[in-house]
Amino acid sequence: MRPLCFFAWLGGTVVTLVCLAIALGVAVDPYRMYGTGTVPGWTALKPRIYNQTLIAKTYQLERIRPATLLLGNSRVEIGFDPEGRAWPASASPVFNAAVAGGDLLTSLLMLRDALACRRPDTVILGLDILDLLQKPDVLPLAKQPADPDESRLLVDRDGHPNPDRPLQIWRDRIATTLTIDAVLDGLATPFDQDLEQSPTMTRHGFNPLHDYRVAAVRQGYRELFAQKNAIYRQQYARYPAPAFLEPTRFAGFRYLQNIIELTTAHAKHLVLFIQPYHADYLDMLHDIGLWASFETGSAH
Amino acid sequence: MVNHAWLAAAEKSSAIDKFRGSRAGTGFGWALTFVSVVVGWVFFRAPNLDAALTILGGMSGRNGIAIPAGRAFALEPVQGLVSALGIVFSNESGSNLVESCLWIMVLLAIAFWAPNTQQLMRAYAPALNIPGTPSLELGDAWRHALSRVRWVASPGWAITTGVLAFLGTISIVRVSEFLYWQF
Repeated sequence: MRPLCFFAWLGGTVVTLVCLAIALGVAVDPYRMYGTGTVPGWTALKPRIYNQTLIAKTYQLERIRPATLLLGNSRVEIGFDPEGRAWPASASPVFNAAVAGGDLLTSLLMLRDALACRRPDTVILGLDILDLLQKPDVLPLAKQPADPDESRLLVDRDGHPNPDRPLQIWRDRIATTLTIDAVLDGLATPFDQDLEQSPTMTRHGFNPLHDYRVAAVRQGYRELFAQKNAIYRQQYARYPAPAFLEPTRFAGFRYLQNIIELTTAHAKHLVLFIQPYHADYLDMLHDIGLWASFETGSAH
Repeated sequence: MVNHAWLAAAEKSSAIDKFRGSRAGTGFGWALTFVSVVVGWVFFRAPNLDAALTILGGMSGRNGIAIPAGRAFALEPVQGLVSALGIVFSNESGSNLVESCLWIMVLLAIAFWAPNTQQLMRAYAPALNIPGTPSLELGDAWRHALSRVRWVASPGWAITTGVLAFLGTISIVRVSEFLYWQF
C-alpha cells in the first residue's frame, strides 16, 4: 500500500469520526446545549446532563427567556417544577435556574444572565442560611477572581456585554461534541431512558430526581436521611460560626443585597424564602454549634 | 531493587527458586512487579515525600474505607461485616466508582496481554537486536494470538490508527500530567 493511500484512509477515518461525533452531540444533545428537538424513548431524558450543569442551565435559560425565574441551590432545583400545574398562566414561561451546590453568587450571575435576555416579572430566590456561613470577606465583587463558567454569560460582572462569550460558545460547542465525555454521554443517553429511574433535567431546568426514587425504594427514606445527615455533620463541622454583627462584611449578604437591588430595579416581584428544614437537620446544627449563626443569619 | 532482591532470594533458597519457575511463581512475579511499579508511581506524582507517604497510607487502607452512599444498598446483606470493618459512606458518585473499576479492568487487560509497540512494529526493525519471535512464557493461546498482531500498511491499520488518533485527540481535555513531569 502506498503511503499516500494509507494517509488518505487514516485522514478519511478521522474526518468521518469527527463528523459523526458532531452529529451525535447535536442530535442527541445530552447537555441541552443546542435545544435540539427530542424523541421520546431515545433522547427525551438527559441522564448525563449534570456532567455539564452550567452549560445546560445557561443556554436553556437564554432560550426560554423566562417571565418567572427560580434561583437557589439544589433544594429549589428539585422542589419547583416550572411546568407544574400550580403556576398561573401569567407566570409562564417559568425557568428553574437553581444550581445544585450553587451559592448566592451563582444566583446573582444567573439573574444577570436572565435580565440580559428579558426582564422577568417575578424572581423567586430560595435562601439557604448555610450558604452564608463564611468568614468575613471585604473584597468587592468586581475584584474577586472570575469563575471560568462566567465567561459563558451574556454580561460580565459590571453588566456590560461579555467579551469572552463568543470564544466560550466555541469552547462549549467543542466540549459538547468533540470530547470523549461528550461522545460517551451522547452514546449513553438513548440507552438510559427509563421514565421511573433515569436522571434528567427538564427543558425548564427542573430536576425531577428520578434516580432518588430508586434509592428511596431500595434503602428507605430513613436510611437515606441518616446517610445524608452523617455527611452534613462531617462537612458542617468545618464551617465557621459567624455572629453576623455586620452582615455586609460577608460576601453572601452582599450578593443577596445585589440580587435585591437588581430585582427591585428590573423586575416586578421578588419572593425571598428561607428553605424549610427537617427537625433532625436543625438538631444537627444545634449539636455542632451552628445554631446561633443560623438564627442570626435568618433574622438578617 | 525489588527484582534484584527477588533474584538474590532465589539464588540463596532452592525453595524460592523452585517457586519462581512455577506457574504460581510467575503470577506472583507479575503481581510483585505491578505493585512495585504502582507504589513507585506515587513517588513520581506526589509533590513531596510526606504527600507520597500519605497517599500510600490511604492506598493501603490506613484511613479506612469509604463507599459512595448511593451504593450502600449493595452491601445490605453484609451490613454486619461492613460495620465491623469500619466502612463508612461518602457523598461521592457511585457511578464514578463503577466507571473507574471498569476502566481499571480494561486497562489492566491491555497492560498485561496486549502487544507492545516493539512487538507491533517488529517487521520494521524498531530496535537493534530485536528477537525474531516474542517470548511466550505463559504459552497461553490468547496471548500467543495477540503477540502475532503486527503492523502493516493496510486500510485496516489506517482505520485503526485513525480511530486511535481520534480517540486520543478528543481525550486531551481530560488533563493528566505526564507521569515523569518532576524529572
